[in-house]
Amino acid sequence: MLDNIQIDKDSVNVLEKALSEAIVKVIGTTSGFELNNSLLITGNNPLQESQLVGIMFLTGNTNALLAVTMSNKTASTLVSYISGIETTELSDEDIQDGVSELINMIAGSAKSLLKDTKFYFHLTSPITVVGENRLMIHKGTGNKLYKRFHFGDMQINLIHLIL
Amino acid sequence: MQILSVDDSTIVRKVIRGATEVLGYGLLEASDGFEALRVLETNHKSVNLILLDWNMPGMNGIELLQKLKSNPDYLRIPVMMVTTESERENIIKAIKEGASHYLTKPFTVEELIKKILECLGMGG
Repeated sequence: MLDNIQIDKDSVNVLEKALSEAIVKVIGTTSGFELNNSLLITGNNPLQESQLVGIMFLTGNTNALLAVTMSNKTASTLVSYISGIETTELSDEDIQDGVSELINMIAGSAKSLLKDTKFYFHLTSPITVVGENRLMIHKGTGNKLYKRFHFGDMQINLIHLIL
Repeated sequence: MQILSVDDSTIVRKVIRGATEVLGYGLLEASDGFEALRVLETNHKSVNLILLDWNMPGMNGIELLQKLKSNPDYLRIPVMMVTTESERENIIKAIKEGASHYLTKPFTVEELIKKILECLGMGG
């Protein structure tokens, strides 16, 4: 009976849903952009075409890495909308800090959605990685989630790796 | 009217500055708890509200809040937590430590302005 089926609160579907809700909420609230057309990415290098990566290590029963990756253009546009400062007036440090704050807020939003699941975590300090042609190679066997969201002609990638 | 923003994110402080400029208020900034205490040492008489992040390097927001509420010079200044920590037990913890208001990130500028006015007793 369908009524008797219980959603496994520890399933990766719950994790994916929480992370997706978090990034949509954060980007929507802070910048006004509506994320849509999310799709799961396949391939070996989730950092492809990205020059800025916001990272947070998540600690708890399940340790993980959470990251958002985007191009310089996407980052400066987002930070401009968030801060109300024209892109031409934003310094590199402003944009890098903005990416750091984005991953901080996405993690914070996801955290509350994952309470009482095995994926619940504690926040750590966000990290921003900057540069072209970066590779991310992870040999762990834990669940890997790579998801791409589009808005306008821009995209932002969400990565969650269980360590 | 003067507000002190304590947050390690320059972008968050710039968003807060934008909101305070709309209100015509002055803004002092600190990037961590230690800097906040230095700013307050010379400016506390003119500060009407402190906006305080939770997760900061060095001294976190709750640790700073405890110091603020144990110093008679700063006791009168209301504190609003502005943080990604949104769970009920964290909100309760902050209120117990002396925060008078709480705003979770992400927020819109309109929400921030509304909460600032509430903190200052000017909310509609």
